[in-house]
Amino acid sequence: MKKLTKGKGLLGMVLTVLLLCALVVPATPVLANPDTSMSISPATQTVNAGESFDVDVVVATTGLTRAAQFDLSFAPSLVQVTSVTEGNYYSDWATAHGGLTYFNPGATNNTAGTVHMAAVAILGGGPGGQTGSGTFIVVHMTAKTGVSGTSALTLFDIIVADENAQAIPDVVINSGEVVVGAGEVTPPTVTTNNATGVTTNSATLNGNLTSLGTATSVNVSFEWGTTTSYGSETTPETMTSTGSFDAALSGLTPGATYHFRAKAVGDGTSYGSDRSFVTTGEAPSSVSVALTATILPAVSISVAPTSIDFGELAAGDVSSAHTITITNLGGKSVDVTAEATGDSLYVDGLWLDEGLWDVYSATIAKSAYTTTDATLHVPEDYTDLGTREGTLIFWAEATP
Amino acid sequence: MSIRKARGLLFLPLAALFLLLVTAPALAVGLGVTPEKLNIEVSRGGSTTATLNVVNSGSDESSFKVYVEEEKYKGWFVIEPEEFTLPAQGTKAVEVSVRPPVYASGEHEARICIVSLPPGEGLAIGTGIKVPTHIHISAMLSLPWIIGIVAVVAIILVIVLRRRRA
Repeated sequence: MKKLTKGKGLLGMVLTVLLLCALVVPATPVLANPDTSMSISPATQTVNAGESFDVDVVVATTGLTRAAQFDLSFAPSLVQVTSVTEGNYYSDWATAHGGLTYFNPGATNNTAGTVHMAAVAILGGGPGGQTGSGTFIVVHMTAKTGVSGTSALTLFDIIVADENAQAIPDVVINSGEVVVGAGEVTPPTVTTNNATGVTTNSATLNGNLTSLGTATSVNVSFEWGTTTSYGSETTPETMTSTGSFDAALSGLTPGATYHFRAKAVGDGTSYGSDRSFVTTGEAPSSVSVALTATILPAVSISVAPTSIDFGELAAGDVSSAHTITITNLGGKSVDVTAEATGDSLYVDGLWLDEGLWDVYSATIAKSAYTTTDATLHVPEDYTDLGTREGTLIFWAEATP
Repeated sequence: MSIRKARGLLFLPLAALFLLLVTAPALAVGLGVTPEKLNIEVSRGGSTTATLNVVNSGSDESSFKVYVEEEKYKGWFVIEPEEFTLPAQGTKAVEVSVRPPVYASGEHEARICIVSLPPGEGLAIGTGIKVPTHIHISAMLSLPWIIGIVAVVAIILVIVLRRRRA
C-alpha cells in the first residue's frame, strides 16, 4: 500500500482541509461519547535515565472512524521526542479496502515539550472506516540522562473523525505518564593495551574490558589505521564478562606506523586510549610512476573533403567554389603543393584559389590548418562528355 | 500557433541537426610519416636499409603506395611493402633498402613518396608526403667486393705459380 507523506501534497492538503472543516463544528457542550476514546498506551511506564521508549497513541471505538489527530505535551526536562511514526490501525483498514493513508507526524518542539497536530487519515477505500481499537501513531521518546521524575504525557486538541469525516464529539481522552530515573544507564569501560607479535606485516592488538556497565553483554573490537582517524575496525566480539581480548591484523606495510584503540558497545559506547606500533622492516624506498606519451609523426597532414563533385558543367563554364581544408597533424611545419592527374579536364582546368593547381603552395605551421577554394574551369574547346574522373593530391614535405 | 506548438516545430529540425552532427563521420584522408628525411650511408657495391613509419591519420581505412619519385633512382631502391591498406590510426613500418650500382659514387638526392588515395567519384582528393632521402656512397668497396677481388687475385696467383713450376 502506498502511504502519502506530508510533502506529497494535494491529497494530503485536501484531507487537512476536511479535518479543519470538521474542527470548526461548534463545540456544543454535550455528554462525552462513551463509544470513542483516544489513549496513551501504556498509561504509565517506567524507564531508566538515558533509555529510549515508545508511547502508543490508541483509538478505540464501537463505531467507524477514518481519521484522528492530537496534540501531546510532555516534560522536556525529563524526556524528549525523537520521532513520530504511523501505527497500523488505519493503514490495515486502508490496505484491506484498496485505499491509502495520509500521515502527518506533526511538529515536535522538544524545548516547549509538545507535538502539534500529529494525524492519520484514510483516503479512498470506499465507504466505512476502522472500528475497534488500535495504535494509529507511535511517539518514540528518550529519557534524558542524569535526571529523574515523572513526566505527564497529555493528549489535547484531539479530533477523531467518523466515516463521514465529521468530528466525533466528546471523545474520551486518556492521557498517560512516564516515570524516569528508576535506574541509570552506564556504558561499559575498556582500556587499550600494547600491541604484541609485531612483524613486518602483522600484529596482535590487545584490550581489556574492565566493566560491562549496565549491559549484560558488550561487543568489543579495535579501531585501527595509519592515523588517529583510524578508518578500519576489527570484527566485534561479544563478551558477557570483563577480561582481556585481542585481534590479529595481517597484510600490513613494512616499516609503517599504525594507530589503534579498543572499543566497547553496551549501554552506550566507550573507547580506550590511542596506542601505536611500527611494523618491522623498511618502508618501500621507491614508488613506480606510470609514464605515457604520444609521439606524433614528423610529417602528417589530413585533407577534407575526400572528393568533389563539381556538378553539371558545359564547355566554357566555371564551377562554384569548393573549400578544401588541409590540416597539419605532425610535429613539424610543412610545405604543401598540389598535383592534379587523370582526365585533362582537371589537369588543364582545376584551379586552386586564383590559379591553376600547379602554382599552388602553402606553408602550414604545426597544429595549424589552411583552406583553399577549388574551382573547375571547363576549357572552351573541351569536347568529351559524361562523368570525368581525376585525382588531386596535396603533397607535404617538412619545411627545411 | 501556440508557443508550445512552435517550440515543437523548432525542436524537430534542431534534433535532426544534432543527430546529423553527432553521427555523420568527419570524412578526411590523412597520412603521417616518420622520420621527415633519410640520410643513408652506403659503401660502393653495398646496401643499407632504413625504416619509414607510416600512420593513417585519416578518418577511414585507406590504401597507400610507396615509391621513389626520381626515375633514375628507382632501380636503387627496394621498398617493402610498396602497397598496403591501413585502418584509421593504423601504422605500418616500411623497409627501404638502398643498393646503388657499383659504378655509382658521391652524393645523391632522391624523394620517397608515400601517397594515400581514397576511392571517389569525380575529383578524388588524396594526400602525399615526400621524404627527402640523401644517399652518400663511400668510395671504399664493400666487404663482399673486397673478398671477391682478393679471391680472384689469389686464384690468378695460384694459376701463375703452377704454370711456372710446370
